Amino acid sequence: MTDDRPAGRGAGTVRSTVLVAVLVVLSLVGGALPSFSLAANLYVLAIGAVLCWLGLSGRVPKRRGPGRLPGLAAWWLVPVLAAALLELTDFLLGSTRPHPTMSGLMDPLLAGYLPRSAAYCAWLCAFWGLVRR
Amino acid sequence: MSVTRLLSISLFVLAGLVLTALEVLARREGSKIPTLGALAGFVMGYRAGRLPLGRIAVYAVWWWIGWHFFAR
Repeated sequence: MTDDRPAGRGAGTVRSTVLVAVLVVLSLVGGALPSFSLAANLYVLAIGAVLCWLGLSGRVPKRRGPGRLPGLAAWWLVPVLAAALLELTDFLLGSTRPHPTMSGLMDPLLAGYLPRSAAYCAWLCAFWGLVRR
Repeated sequence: MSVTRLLSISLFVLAGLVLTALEVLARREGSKIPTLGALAGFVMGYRAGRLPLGRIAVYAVWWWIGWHFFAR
């Protein structure tokens, strides 16, 4: 019996599987490190450094970005600026319970191991997506 | 729960919903709205001479977000 699939496609599938496995393992480790710990700081700094190096060194093939954006792209500014303004306002008002910042609201949600690992995975996947852009 | 807290949470949720709606709209066939990835790609294409300033800025922001939520 012969395998009719192109060799490149099979290699791509293996690469994708390995990448997903690596990101999941990194997330599971990162999710186990508590906030404010030295290990958590060093871990996120090391991962960020490696991904930035990969993205800036040109070692990873990238998708070609759009040369120009349509005018409707400005719609993205509405929720981003609104959230940033709200975050800044709450921060300047002391980041208290009546004026919570986003990180203050996220802390209880990220306290559990699984939600923290899932959020870590989302952050890593997005970071990898930026490296490939 | 105080009114200001409820208002802050509601507005954060609303911003998240609008972001999600924009991404869904952007992924429709023939959409004139770019996806968030395409937008990031455009910003990362900005260079100051040989320096990939847009790429460095986007990486720095995303790196800081990870550090802020998972380490600080």
